[in-house]
Amino acid sequence: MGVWGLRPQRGPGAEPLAFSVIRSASLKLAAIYGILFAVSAFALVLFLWWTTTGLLDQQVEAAIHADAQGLSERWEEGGVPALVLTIQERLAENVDDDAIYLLADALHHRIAGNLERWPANVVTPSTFYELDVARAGMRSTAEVYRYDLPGGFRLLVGRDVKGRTQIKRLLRGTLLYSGILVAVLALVGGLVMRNLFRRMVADVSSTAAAIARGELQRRVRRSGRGDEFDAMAEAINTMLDRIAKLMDGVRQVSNSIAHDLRTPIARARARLEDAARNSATEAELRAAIDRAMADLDAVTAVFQALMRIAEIEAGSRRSAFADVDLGPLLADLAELYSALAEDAGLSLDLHVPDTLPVWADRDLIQQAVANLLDNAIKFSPPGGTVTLSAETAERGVRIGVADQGPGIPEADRARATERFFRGEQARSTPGSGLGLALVQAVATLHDGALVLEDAHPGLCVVLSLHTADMKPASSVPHEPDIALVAQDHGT
Amino acid sequence: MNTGLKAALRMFCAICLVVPAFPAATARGEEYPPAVILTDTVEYCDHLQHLIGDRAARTAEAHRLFNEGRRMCDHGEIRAGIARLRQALIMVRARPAQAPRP
Repeated sequence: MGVWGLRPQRGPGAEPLAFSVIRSASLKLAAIYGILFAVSAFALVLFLWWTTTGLLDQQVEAAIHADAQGLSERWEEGGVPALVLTIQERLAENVDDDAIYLLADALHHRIAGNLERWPANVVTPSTFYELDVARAGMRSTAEVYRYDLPGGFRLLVGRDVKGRTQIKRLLRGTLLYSGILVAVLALVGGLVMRNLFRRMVADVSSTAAAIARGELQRRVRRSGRGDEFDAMAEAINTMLDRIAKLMDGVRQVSNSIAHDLRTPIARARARLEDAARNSATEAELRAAIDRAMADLDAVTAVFQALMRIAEIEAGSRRSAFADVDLGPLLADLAELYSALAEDAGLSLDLHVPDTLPVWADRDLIQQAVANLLDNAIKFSPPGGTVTLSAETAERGVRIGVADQGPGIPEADRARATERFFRGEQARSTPGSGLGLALVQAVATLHDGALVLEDAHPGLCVVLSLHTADMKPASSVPHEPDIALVAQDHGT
Repeated sequence: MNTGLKAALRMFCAICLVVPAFPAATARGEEYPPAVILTDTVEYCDHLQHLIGDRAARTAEAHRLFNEGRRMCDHGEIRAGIARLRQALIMVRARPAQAPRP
């Protein structure tokens, strides 16, 4: 079957056409619609049928019982003669011409009433019967009730229900024709639904097929009506844009890895080759090997940084989240990097409260702030000041690292956190272009944010995190993470 | 075909089979000859005329209905004639004999 089942492929391995049609989603949708519509309409008509005919039946039965009640009283008052007289009077005054009476003895011999003889099928007392009767040569239908009287006498009281029968017949005809109409409407409606469904998925299907062929720029068309189909098309297009962006990112990272690692590896190889050919002494040879090892260590560091970022982005470190006090942690870092800053001719200012609780992975925060301080020291001119600050903000905690270096042009700031991105002014500075990418990954893992601001002069990098009492749902360890940690410990 | 669709199809077929059976909700005596109604006959027409008798003159309307019913019975319109005679009978029975027509 083709994509979305729209274009069945005919080939040696393809399904027979009948099967593919039966399994078609659009046909199922049409069938379900048609059946639901037909069942609903039938249920409604049947309800009308039952209520209407039921009401008519109830009226007839009530009239018969009321009539019989009166006759019963006359029977008690005067026996057979009184009953005969009453029957005759009621028949004589029956303007509606629908009353039926028959009083018979134990042998079913007629005593009074307007039925010629006792109907052979009326055998059970206290039971309603529907009889065929002949009235002035015309066939009609009557509903009668049999009452058994003391002394073996039997009484039939009934009504001519030809009118009711005609209404029932009319309703039955209406039911039949409305059933046919409903079936036709269900069929037409089903076909309309099917075509609508097919048209809806046709563009999605063709887009998916085009992307499978390699036309990655294809997108699902929007009708512009702003309906659910447009919403779906927009969601699919957003997904495709995201996939395209990720693929671009992967391509760019691959290219960057190839480019950035080729240089130190080539340099190490050249040094080793030169040492092998030209070193006169063992000391020169060892020095060349040491330099080559340093180059290779840099390569290894790049790989480690990449793997670290991948690990953070995978979210596998969420199990290490805990309440962390940033105050002492940042103070320790400032103390550690103040020596480095001093060596670079810089001063490191610290503006951090004593206590600053956050919900975070301590090691990752430490590494992220260390990266920021490292960058700030690296890019600040001698005599400048690097400032490490932290404060409680409205929606969490802000950690800021500001320098007085060249900063990052606004046009480059959006890309500054991409892997291997290095601005024009950073090309002459040692580094792999992975530091800010790691900080960004840490911020994302913590549901936080990383913002690059202009410090006039220099750059201020702000890392926002959640406070300990505002734990984001995604930071709470969940089962897969725990399972993974347990597995790691077990191996 | 999934289970839900099969169930819906079964329900639809069941309704189609059951619907034609609804008119036969009560047992009918089709195999028996029809019972004859005796109050649709010329004899009953005569019986009602006899019951009304001279009392038809008590009211003008009863008199008119009586004559009309009798004429219809004579012309073979038995049920319509009987209906008028019944109306006339009800009228004369409702009118006391002591109150003659003005």
